[in-house]
Amino acid sequence: MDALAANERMFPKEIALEDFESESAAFEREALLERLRTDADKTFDELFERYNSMVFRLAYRILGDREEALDVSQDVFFTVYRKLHRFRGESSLKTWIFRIAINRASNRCRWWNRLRRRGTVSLDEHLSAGRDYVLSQTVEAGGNSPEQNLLLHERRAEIESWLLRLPVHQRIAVIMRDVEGMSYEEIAESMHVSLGTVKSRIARGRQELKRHLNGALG
Amino acid sequence: MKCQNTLDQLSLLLDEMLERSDAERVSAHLATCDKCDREYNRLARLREELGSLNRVRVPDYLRHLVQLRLEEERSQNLTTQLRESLEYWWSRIRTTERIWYLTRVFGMAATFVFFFALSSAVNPVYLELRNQNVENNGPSQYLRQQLGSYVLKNLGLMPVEAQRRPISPSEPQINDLYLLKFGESASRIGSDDSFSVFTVVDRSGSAKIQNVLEYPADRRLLQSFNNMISSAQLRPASQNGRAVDSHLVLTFNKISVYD
Repeated sequence: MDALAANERMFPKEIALEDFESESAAFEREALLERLRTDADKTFDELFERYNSMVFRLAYRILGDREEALDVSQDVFFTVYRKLHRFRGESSLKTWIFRIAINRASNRCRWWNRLRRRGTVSLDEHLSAGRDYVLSQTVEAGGNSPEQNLLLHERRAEIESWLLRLPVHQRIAVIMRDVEGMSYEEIAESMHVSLGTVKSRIARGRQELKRHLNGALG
Repeated sequence: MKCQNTLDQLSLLLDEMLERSDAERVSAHLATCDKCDREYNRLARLREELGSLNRVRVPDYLRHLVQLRLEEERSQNLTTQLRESLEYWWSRIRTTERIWYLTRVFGMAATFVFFFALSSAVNPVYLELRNQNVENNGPSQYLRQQLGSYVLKNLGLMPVEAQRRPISPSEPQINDLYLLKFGESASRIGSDDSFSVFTVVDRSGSAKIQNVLEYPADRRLLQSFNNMISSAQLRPASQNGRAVDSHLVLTFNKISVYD
């Protein structure tokens, strides 16, 4: 026990773990930059494989429309390909890609909002079109009965509907945290805001959703 | 601890983002307050529900769409790069004084070469390879001399008189001696006579009668003229300094003068 205690004093667990993580991240970043220098096309393929579903999901949840999400995802990876050689490893590649995705999706949101204000398009129609896709695409083939599936889908549709009504920044923060399971630090880096702002946006977004979904949450 | 303060921190407690002391304080409040505890459970339920939203299938053709766009970009990339590099160099030429002057000098040189090539096409270069100087000085030096004089001539820097080939004393040519001998032979016949011949003078200067345009009354006169001209050496005609074949029409009139 004495030896163990002495070892812990010399190498505190938390500090040792942090050091290891930072060294590991730095090593991974260096390896990535080296790969970028030697074979950018192959590296891009790897990135696409790793992040395409996350980027699409994020865009889809922000915009609520499948075609729009496809268009934005395509645009995001095209931008990643074009700017990959400029990536210097100041942030993690994941947050860098997500930052691009957030910017593109936010711009698209603003564009939709402008159209809505001009009365060119009905947002409700736009959202309902997206919900149809959700119902058709996210059917779980588990052991649920058809009635249970229907209830499940109705509840999800309601959540999605209210999620899409959140302010864009709150929506993005909640999606990244609760849907994608990203850490607060990653979200702050991706959204280019402070940690406190992220905490505030997530808390307010959840509070707003909870207020509207009180019945559905039991 | 007040409920309002607790509600503000439930989200952070759920994500384990509170300091240890704050987390303990909020947890203690939740243990005693049913309302706040219910809100916490709802929040947890909401997070669970939101977590289930990530089951969205990515369309398979997203990769294909990206590939198509990248291929399009790559194909446009070459022309874009070329245009950008041209614009870059043009802007550098315009903005760098030294390069600007160099470009002007290069342009002048290019113009000179162009007009020289044009004049060469109009007046082709004839170089005499069969020359005595070739044996003495070597062909390359001789060619350089020829080319130099040719360039000066084309540019109008060499007078026309100097362009003519100089006649050396050793070079045989028709002269008064030949004419005198022929005249002596012609005068022996005491009657007036005349003839015209069409003569060919080749590059070496030797001449021969090709055709008789007007025969003399005395055929011996023509024979005598033929002997004279075939043994004589004429100066060949020249074109651009080069000896060429030529034709002459010679008319001879013999007039006898009686005392």
